[in-house]
Amino acid sequence: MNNAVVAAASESGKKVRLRKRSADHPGVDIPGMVLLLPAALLLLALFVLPVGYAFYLGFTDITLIGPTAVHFHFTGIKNVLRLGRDTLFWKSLWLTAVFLAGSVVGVTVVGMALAVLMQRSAAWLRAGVGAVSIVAWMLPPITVAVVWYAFTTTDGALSLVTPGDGDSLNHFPMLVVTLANVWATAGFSMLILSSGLRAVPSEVIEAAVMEGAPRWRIFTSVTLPIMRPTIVTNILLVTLLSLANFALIYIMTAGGSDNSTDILPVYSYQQGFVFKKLGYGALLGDVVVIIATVFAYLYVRVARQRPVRTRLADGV
Amino acid sequence: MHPVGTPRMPRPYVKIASLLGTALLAASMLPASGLAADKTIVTVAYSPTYVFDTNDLAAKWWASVKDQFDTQYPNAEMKLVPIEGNYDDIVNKLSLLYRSPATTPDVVQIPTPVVAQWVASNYLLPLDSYVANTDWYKDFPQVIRDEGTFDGKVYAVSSGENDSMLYYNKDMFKKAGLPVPWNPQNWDDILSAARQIHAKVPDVVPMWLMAGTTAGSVGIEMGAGNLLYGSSDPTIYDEATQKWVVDSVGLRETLGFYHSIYSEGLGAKLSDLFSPTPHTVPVTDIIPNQKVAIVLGSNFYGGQWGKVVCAPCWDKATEVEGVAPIPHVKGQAPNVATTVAGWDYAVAAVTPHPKEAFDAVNVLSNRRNSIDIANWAGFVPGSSKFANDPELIDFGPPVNELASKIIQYGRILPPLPDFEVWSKGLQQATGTMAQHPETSVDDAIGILKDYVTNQLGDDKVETK
Amino acid sequence: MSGNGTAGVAPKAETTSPVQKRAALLTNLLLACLGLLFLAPMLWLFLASVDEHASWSLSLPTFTLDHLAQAISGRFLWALVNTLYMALVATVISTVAGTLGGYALSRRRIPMRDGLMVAVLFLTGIPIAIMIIPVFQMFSSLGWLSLIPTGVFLGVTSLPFALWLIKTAMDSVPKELEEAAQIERAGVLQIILYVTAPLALPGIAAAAIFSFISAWGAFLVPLVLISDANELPGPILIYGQISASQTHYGDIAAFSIVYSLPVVVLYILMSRPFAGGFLMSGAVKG
Repeated sequence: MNNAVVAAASESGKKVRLRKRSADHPGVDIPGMVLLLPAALLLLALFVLPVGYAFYLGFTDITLIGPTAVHFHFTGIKNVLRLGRDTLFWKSLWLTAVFLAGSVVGVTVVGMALAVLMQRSAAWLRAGVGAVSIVAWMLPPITVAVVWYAFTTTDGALSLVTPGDGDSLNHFPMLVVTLANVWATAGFSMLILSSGLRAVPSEVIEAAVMEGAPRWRIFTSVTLPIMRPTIVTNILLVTLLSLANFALIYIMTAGGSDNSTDILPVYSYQQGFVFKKLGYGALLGDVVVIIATVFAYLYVRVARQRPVRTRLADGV
Repeated sequence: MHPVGTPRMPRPYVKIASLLGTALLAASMLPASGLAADKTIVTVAYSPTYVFDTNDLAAKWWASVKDQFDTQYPNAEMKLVPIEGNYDDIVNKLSLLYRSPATTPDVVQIPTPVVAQWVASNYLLPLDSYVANTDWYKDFPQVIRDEGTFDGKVYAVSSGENDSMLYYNKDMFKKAGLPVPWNPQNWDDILSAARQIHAKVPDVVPMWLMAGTTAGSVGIEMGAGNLLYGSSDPTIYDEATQKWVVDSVGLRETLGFYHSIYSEGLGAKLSDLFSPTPHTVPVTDIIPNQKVAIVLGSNFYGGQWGKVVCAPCWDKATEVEGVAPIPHVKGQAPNVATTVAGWDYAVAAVTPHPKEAFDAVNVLSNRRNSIDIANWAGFVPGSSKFANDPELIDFGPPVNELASKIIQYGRILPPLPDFEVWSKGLQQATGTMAQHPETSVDDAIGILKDYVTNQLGDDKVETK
Repeated sequence: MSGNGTAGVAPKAETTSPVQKRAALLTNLLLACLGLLFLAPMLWLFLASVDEHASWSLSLPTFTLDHLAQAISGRFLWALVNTLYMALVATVISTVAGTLGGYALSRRRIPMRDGLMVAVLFLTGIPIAIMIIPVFQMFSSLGWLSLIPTGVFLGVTSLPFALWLIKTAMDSVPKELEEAAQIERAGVLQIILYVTAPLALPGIAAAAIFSFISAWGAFLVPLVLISDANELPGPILIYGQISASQTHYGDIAAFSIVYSLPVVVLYILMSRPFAGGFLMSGAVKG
């Protein structure tokens, strides 16, 4: 939906441009347009177009195999009506919210803890722990899935400290995949929050210290408020990252034994590739896009609040 | 403002643009693989990791088949197209490949339950005229032929079948005072044996019974489906009303059995039941390591413990492990219950060379290859002649002998696309029973009913 | 990683009192604990990769180098090469188009530029999984179901973010230098190559690294788009091994390590410009 709007906007933008040519601009910026062309063409052909087509497919009866695999039909709002009735969809929506909220809270808390502790720790420890958390983030999703599967299954490392049969993966699947996601994303968050932490002006802190405020109060009443934009950005990015993390959950649990980890991307894959109902699966995917768009929109709002030069000057 | 004034002739930009264009064009022209100038290439899609007992044996068998074909038909060449992943991944990948003639393989080894969907999509070539000229198709029993026949036409031929039986550990049975050989006549016999093991032989799992959804599509075939087919009402899909049965005497008997096993602590541990490959747990782990007394399992275990397959090697297999057919719930004749499902060869409707494609199928189905794949992938061959061949029987006694004997009693699972939904619903019910043993049969039926109704609608389900 | 500022937390005093010594000890202890928590899951990976009797369980290994030897030979090595090839294509596409486009968006008159930037940012949020079927249809009819087109597609999925990163980086490059070059009658491409890009290198490098990591770890896209067994990248091979009839856990662990090494090495090599170009930025891992 958004991409159709965007495509239309840039189309009309170009049209407006040509009309205003003689009035405002001395000529079309050919070099500029040519430089933008590769990116624009690639994005239009291989990104915008497929997304648009995927959106359309959500309103058809296309299946992976069967009579409507190749010759499918537009079915209007039939799939949408089904969506409304589908109790598993609502459960999936809820699970997605739980997964996202849990991931955001976990990642932000751990990332902040890392950032704060690393500020004042021994240099070697800072380098070592920083490296480990970043490596965890850089690991490809399949490695994370394999590692966490082994970690949380019976006789895995985690079972050494958990009671019962030690099978955390099957008893608490959502908790385990959320923890795995936190583990795999905290390093990234640490980087962002560290930069934000470094950008807090030391004079303000020193002034607070001079007034005799305890360190903890300084942190919550001075540092955090100043870091708010960074924290909000961090939250939004973690949300987008987690929403896109299909591979982790799919490989670790394939939705769980009672749909307990069926977040929307996984449920969409199931409908499309297990039940072969590609049209309905595409519609579920459309819902994911809408959710992602909302968060991306929020991110844009926050990201545009501060002038670019200031941001970069702080970081470098 | 640009001091130079007029816009420069954008040659650098044209250069970039044409470079990029050439690059993309070049990429698109890169051939997928080797060219064979004059020969007819017959592409054959198969699984390199899922069908055979080991990856090495799969590679060996397919290399040999290709050799045979290339030698026998010098004007043709077989090109092998491996499809990675498990059962569901294979079906998905093939579904994608068949969407366009350019990527459709000429020949495919495909699971029998999905052949109907391929036929419905008009993807397969009728083979009647071709099989009439073979010397092996006539030995296929009707039940096996029916798996690949639709609307009176033959669309697929069996490469091998799987059925299920009960495995039991003779040492544990003797220790518990149970009869060896064991011939359970009804389900109560199985339950009381399991209970006795539980009492007399601690530290072993009394019975392995597949539960949960991680097995994917084969979970019902190798698990609950067998019990259902031995129950008082084995109907899954009511042809008359065109509805899926979500509550019946048969289903309640089956889930009742599950309830007994799991609520009395007679079942296996969750991490094994819910492992990514639960169908391999009995054969690679808990049977050869003697951790389980009774297993409701598939015939493919038979040859795996011998020296050839050695996955793993268990030289005590024949003396320790016995087999018995799964009985009817109340012992009614013929007192053999089992699903039957396997893998078929089929030829694409759009193949440019149907004759060569079927030549490949002919080579695949000769005696040597049929027996080898049966032994190395754990199949009962489609041909009853090969199924009783001594080379097969001796490869995995006593399993292979029983497997060949009971195949005639096998029932296929509904080859309909929505079977996946029903199957997932039942697997969720059994998974919940395994994970929460206090789940009652009513609750379990409720899970199945809710799931299928939610996915397919009220008008597609019924209670019998 | 190498921040030495202590802004945001109270500055250290000149001499460390017992209280401050205790605080420093506590800080280090807590951080060490966090570090161990990050290491804990990776333990299995190292143990199983050298364990002859590896399984999913954590256990003391019966030492063997077989798994590691396997992991860098035959199919596994081939998969590594494939992944490298694919990721490089993706990175080149994304970085080149991103640099040219980023420059255009930063310095040139592009109509609806702000709207386009917003649109680009929206695109970064879209999960790739939903595009799979249309892209498959498209590529299959063009005969593009192979490694290089898949790499191109992966590059395109990283492109929005690359554009945004690079444009942002270029925005902060002082215009005076470019104006000086223009006075010297330098062409636009020369300006980009010799003036702007080098100064915006942290952003460009960050974009390149993200594209590489994203393509390196891609799972669903190659799973659907690549059919030829000789072209399978690492994640697909690992996935196939997990669901095989005969699971070689030790090989899976060993190959997972080998397969993850390049991105780790990349991080070590690039940690300078990487951390710099990172502020207010993020990534979309597929």
